[in-house]
Amino acid sequence: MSEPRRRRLPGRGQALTVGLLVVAVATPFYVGPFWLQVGLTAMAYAVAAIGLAIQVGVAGQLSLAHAVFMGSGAYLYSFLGGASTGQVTGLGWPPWLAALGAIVLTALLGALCSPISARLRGLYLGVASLGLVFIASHVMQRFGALTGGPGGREVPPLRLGPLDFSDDTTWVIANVPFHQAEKLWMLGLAVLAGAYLVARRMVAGRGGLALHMMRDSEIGAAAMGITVWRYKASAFVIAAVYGATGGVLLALLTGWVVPESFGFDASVNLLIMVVIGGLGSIRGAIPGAVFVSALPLLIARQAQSIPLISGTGDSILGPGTLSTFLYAGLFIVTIMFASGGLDRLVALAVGTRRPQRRIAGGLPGKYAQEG
Amino acid sequence: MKWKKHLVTRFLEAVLNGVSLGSLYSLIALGFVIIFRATGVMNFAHSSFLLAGAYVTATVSAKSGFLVGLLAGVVTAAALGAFTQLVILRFSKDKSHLGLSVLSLGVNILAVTEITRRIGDNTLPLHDPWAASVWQFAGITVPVSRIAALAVAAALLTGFLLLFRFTRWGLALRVSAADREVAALVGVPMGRVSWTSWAIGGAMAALAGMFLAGFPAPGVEPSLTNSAMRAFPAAVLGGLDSIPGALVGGLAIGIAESVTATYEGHLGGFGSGASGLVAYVVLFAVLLLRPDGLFGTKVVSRV
Repeated sequence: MSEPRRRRLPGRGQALTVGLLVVAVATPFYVGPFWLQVGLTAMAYAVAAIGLAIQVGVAGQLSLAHAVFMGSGAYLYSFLGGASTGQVTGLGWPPWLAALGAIVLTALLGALCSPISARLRGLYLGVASLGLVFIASHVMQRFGALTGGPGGREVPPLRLGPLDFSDDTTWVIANVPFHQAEKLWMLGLAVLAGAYLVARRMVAGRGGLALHMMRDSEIGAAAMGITVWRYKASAFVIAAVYGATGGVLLALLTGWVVPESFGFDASVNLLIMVVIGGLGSIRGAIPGAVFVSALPLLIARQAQSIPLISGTGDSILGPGTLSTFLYAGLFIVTIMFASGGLDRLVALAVGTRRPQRRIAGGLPGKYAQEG
Repeated sequence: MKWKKHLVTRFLEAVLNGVSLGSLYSLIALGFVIIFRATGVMNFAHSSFLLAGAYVTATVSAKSGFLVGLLAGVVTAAALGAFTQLVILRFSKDKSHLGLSVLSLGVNILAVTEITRRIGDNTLPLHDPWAASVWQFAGITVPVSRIAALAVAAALLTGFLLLFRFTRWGLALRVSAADREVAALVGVPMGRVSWTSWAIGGAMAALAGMFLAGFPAPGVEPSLTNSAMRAFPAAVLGGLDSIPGALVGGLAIGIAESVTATYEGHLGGFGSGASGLVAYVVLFAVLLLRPDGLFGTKVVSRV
């Protein structure tokens, strides 16, 4: 790596990051429940999308099953932390332990994929991951005692020691009452920031270099002494941990988990988030997630004032449909003409280009060899 | 002895239905393999071609009769396939196989969302001539639609194999699958081979979709895409670039699904609906042993 380090414009990126953080921290003091809900949903998906960005974008392991990891996190948290009722069983663990357990067990699930992931390349892996989606949705539908079946199950509120993230108590900070949404906002923000920083460090480090190399050429990576199956497995585990964390966040804010939230469509949406964000870009995954997850909520809110939708009759164009058209269209345009995605916009704002990793002797392009 | 005969008939019925279902999966998987051989793209939009074909068949045949409807459906799906290649994939800046495959997923989302919106909560009847009639022979009961499906699929598969073996287009397809660059160098019109392959793949998917929506299924619904999803494993199972693989894979998945559907009632609450999964269970088992599928070409690479 003899490439000279690009000089960052000092301060501009940092200033922007700090500014965004300040705005984000201040937001719950000013905005109403609708915007908090939008933001929280976006945060949960952003955390999960970062994991997928590492798996697909950095490590080159196509996955159409990321929502399975989110679902696993959400359901395991509800199972471990929830109480047994007539319909569903729960272990009643303290919530922090349940959240931790959900993430660890989902990481194990990610590791369990490794016998298959280690043997498959590119597109084959994509199809095999579809299998995971269908098996998972079967489990969510049929294992009624654990998941509540098609109707779903309740999610226990989170308590971390003295901090209570439910509606039972209200914190008053600067004369602003903090209910569940405001409290979860702060939690989500902290988790997202942590997830982002850890991801940046992982991708920039030796392990990240190995993952990049594996993406560009598995055989080349193996020849350089990278244990390919181990790095593939670790890409899955990382994706599982991020997915599960996002899933727990999503479960906490909805308060109820249902199988539809974690099916094929959800997995595809997650893939759209990272592609729109710019494949391989950690920072791009966040605006990608915000765009895809917030769009249907915003359109639903503005449904009255947008022409075309909100009609009745056979061929109504609902908010969900309209937003799907918009982000699927953007997805296609991104791949066709602008593979940098939203990451390029971020780069313009920050004033740096994403450093392109060049592997000695390999092509800089994505998936130059494999697939 | 009576129960034993009953068991045998039931099993035979399951297998016969499975062969018929499998021939449809083979048809879908074959289109998939043709597209993969010609362009190296895994076509995630295949389920939307299938749904589009079935949807147009159902709507047109309501007014103009079944045959016209079927023709319209097949043409629509073929056009959609050709459109995907000619307008979307060809102009993509990202030409990597993975990029193009993910792009086809985008096409799939748009098309499926639009057709789902048009169908709404309805189930469109197909107006097919055999409707719900059944055929009985030596105690075995099989829907006529399944027999028709088997016959049509067999005819199409044979026709395709003849084309593939004896025409210039077939030769071009074989050459371009063997080595794209060499094929272009010796004058194979790669563009034409690509879009015709997409069109043929789409047409095959539409025909299969029409039968999949027929009896015993209720009609054209958005969930038809789930059946198409089960043809992915059929193609991958046989090896993505292998034509015999698509046929064997389709039959294997069809029989496994039909047999599971017959006996899943004995598996308790968790078993019901297991027939929708068995395709993927078989796929995992095969891929663990043979990562390139049963008949797929082993990839040999130089770095």
